Amino acid sequence: MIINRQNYQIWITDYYDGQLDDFQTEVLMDFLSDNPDLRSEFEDYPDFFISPDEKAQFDNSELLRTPEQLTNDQVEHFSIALCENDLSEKQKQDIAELKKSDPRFRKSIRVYEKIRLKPDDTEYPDKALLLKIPGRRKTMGILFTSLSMAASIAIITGLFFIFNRQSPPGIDDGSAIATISESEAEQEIQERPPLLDLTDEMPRYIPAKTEVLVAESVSTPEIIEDESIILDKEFREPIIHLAMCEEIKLDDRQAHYLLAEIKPYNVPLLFATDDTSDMSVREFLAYQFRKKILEEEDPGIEQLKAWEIADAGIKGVNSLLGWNMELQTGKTEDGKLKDISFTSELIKFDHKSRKNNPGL
Amino acid sequence: MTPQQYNKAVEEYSDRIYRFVLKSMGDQDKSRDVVQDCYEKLWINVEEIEYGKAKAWLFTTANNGMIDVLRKEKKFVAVDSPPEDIHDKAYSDLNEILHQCLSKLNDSWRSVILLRDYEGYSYREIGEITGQSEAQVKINIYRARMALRKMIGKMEVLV
Repeated sequence: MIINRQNYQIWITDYYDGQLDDFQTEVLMDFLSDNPDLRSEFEDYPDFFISPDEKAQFDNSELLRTPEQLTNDQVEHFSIALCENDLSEKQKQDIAELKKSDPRFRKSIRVYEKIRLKPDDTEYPDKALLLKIPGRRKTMGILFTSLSMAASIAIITGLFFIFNRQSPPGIDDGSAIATISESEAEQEIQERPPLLDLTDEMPRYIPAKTEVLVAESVSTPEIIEDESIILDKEFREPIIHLAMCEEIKLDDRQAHYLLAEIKPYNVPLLFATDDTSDMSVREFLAYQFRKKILEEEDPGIEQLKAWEIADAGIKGVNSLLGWNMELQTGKTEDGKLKDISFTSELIKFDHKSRKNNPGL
Repeated sequence: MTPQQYNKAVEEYSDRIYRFVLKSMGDQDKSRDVVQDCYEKLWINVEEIEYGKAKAWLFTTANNGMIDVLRKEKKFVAVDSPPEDIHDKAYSDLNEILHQCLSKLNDSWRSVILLRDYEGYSYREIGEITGQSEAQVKINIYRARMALRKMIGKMEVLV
């Protein structure tokens, strides 16, 4: 910007504000030399600066705060901050000074130093179960797949045995009838009235004095000898017939199964036992599974657990393949599942049962 | 993380995680389940998680699992209600009293104070574990300390 009579005030103002460099100052002085009438204006300019009135003072004593005027909440806030190491070094020094003069700081800091939780010696009791054997992760998937397959096989096998149970020794048609001469047997069969009327929905009374009789219970058949049949005692064993019963006690569902399976001379009366007559199908299956597959002495009727099915599967695989796997369960005093351990030649692991899901 | 490092994480952190969850929930069985869940999840993700981050990851997972359980139970406790008869007991074991009072804090305060005192985590680390902002963690710790102080009662008894 070139100095002239229209803008020389800016140059003078900048000069007194210290905004001009040496060259600009020299330019300004040359301009004033060329314009002496402006020289007095330049020299009088500092007189128009206003200086602060040093006598005017505000009484701020009411605004100043002493440590005694801090509220208890403020004291506690600073105490906590000190204990949490949230203060700067300057603030820490200030608090240290306050601590000397204000007893509230001393007490508060001491309290908050004490209100710090100290961990006790609590230990996680199942730590051993969390540890992993290297390489186990991959084999676990294979193992559980195998166990699932084994369990499926076990269930199918179990159901096969339950619903296709063979008759007790002595009432099998093949062996019994074979002891009679063919003509006699044919005659016997033709003269026999039907054992059950299969055209009805429910089995009815078996006519009395039929020669082939029905056992009241498979487990305790009463064996009698029918003297009316002529035997060849030298070559043939006596024909054995089961005791006659007046009525077969079955509910609708049991009757349905019975009607599907029943054959003349070979009546599987599995359902007619006193132990299972009042059970639902689910209870019956659970009971028979435990009794026949797991071979428990006192089988319960409660719902089957996953580990029971797995156990049956493992037993089935052992018998089929000759392996030596074993699934053991630990139970609490009240009979609840506590833990499961699996052992085999390749792998071994333990699993703790969850308290919230004891059924695994 | 290798299986060996996983096992090391079990040895080093399972007690801490369990203690944190147990003090927060107050139920041994549920706490054991939460810890077991944490390590099952860690094992599932063992290849993705670095060992150096396992501790924070476990605490985060434990905290989340714990919150899920507590939410299901709808366990809400009044903040300022002190334990019964707390003031009638002798202050023979301050730590025991503090733990009694701790159970009366709300879940957020209890978690941050446990992580701060037990594990010595910074505000930022606690924030990462609990999902709170650093400022919120700081506020919660301050409020929890003052609540504990209020529950315990007379300052002179402690001093």
